[in-house]
Amino acid sequence: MNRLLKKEIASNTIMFVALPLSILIYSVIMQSGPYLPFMFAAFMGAALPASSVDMDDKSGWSRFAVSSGIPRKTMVDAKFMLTLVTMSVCQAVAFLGAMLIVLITGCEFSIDDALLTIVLSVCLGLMLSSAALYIGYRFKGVAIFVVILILGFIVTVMLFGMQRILGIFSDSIAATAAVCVAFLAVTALLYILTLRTVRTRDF
Amino acid sequence: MGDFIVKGLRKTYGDFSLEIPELVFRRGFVTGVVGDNGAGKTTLMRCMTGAALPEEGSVDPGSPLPAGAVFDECPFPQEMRARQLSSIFSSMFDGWDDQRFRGMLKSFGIDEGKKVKEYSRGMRMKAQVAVALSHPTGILVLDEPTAGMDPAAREEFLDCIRDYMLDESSCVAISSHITSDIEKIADYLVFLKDGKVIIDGETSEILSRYGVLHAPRDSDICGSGIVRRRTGPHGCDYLVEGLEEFSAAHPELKADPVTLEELMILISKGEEA
Repeated sequence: MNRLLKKEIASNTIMFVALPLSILIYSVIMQSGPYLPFMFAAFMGAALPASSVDMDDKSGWSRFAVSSGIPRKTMVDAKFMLTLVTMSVCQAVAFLGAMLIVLITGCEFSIDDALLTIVLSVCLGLMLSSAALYIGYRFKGVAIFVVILILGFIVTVMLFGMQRILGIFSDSIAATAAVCVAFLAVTALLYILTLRTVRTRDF
Repeated sequence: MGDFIVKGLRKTYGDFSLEIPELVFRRGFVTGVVGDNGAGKTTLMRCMTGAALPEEGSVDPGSPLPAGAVFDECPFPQEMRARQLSSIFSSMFDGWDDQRFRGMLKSFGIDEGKKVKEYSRGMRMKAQVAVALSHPTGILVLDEPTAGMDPAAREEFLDCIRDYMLDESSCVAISSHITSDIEKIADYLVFLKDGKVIIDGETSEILSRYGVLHAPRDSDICGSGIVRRRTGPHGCDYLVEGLEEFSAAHPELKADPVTLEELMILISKGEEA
């Protein structure tokens, strides 16, 4: 197991409670359909690893870990593992949110559509997290990125309607698969770029 | 295990450049790194631990073991309690000694149930020391560890380092602005100014080599041995190199042995005589 994963999870326990709670609350408040919580979870899930890089830099944890002989790759891998854990937790909570919306509004809920949305959301979330991690390590300005991310999400929802966007993908498995592969390819590329950045930067 | 050797190191940040031809941190001894703000102490420490990557040169730790690092700011997650820290470090470090960690916390008077954010400045530094000393390390790198500590806490901290040095294979590099601490603990001294090593040697030898001559403000003393002068509001201080020879050559001038603080001030703020 990654030597830093325990620290990553333990030091973000508050966020692990706050993020799922906010997913539930926003899902119910917005009530834009039962698939929205999954996409919302993807955005929220990306915020945690991003902010944890920022916190590590500010507190001096990264410098301490590297100085204490922890390989730089271990540090990057721990953040990507944190991303996976966060994404899983957020998607599980999003499912609860979706069920709540169905209960409240009595709208239709298709498991097939939900699965497609989850896959799409996870891939999108992984790409966003990777981008946030890369930017966090490369430019040390992740807080701004997170704000843009959230504002961008709100604007997207308001202007286009999340349900319509999801509708395009949920109608076509091939389109969803192509988009997911593209998201994962970008994630892989960003992982390599993050590793290169962390191997050559000072802490 | 061999000595910790820094060779041909160069690290640049904007206009500042740290250039170290060679520095040896001997096993069994404490080496103090002193100098003004911006002299390059922290940069050197960061290069030694691998946190900063030099453009040129090599760092040979002389041991396969990692460094134990203590910085001026406590890096531990603020919401955590000491017992949680121990659990994290047990998965982070090979050979983590939980008993030793808890024992040190107890001797430092740190409540295991308290959160890091509730620690005082001294407790934060001590917690870092406890972590650094609770797993096998090749060198202990301490960057301004006593900053902000009261005298009693500083003495307690120095005792810790003395205990650590009972093992003759131990090696400590410590930087501090509190020169009295360095004078008490360091066997060797490295004096940095503007990124360059200007004095490097045994502490006792350096302090006995230099002397200080206190004279009235309008005095103008010159002669062999006087290397720097600093005029202050209440007088003029001269740094004398080769104290014995100078005293023999100028019996009318009484030069006193220099303290590390006087040496630092005269070298960094004084002008060439």
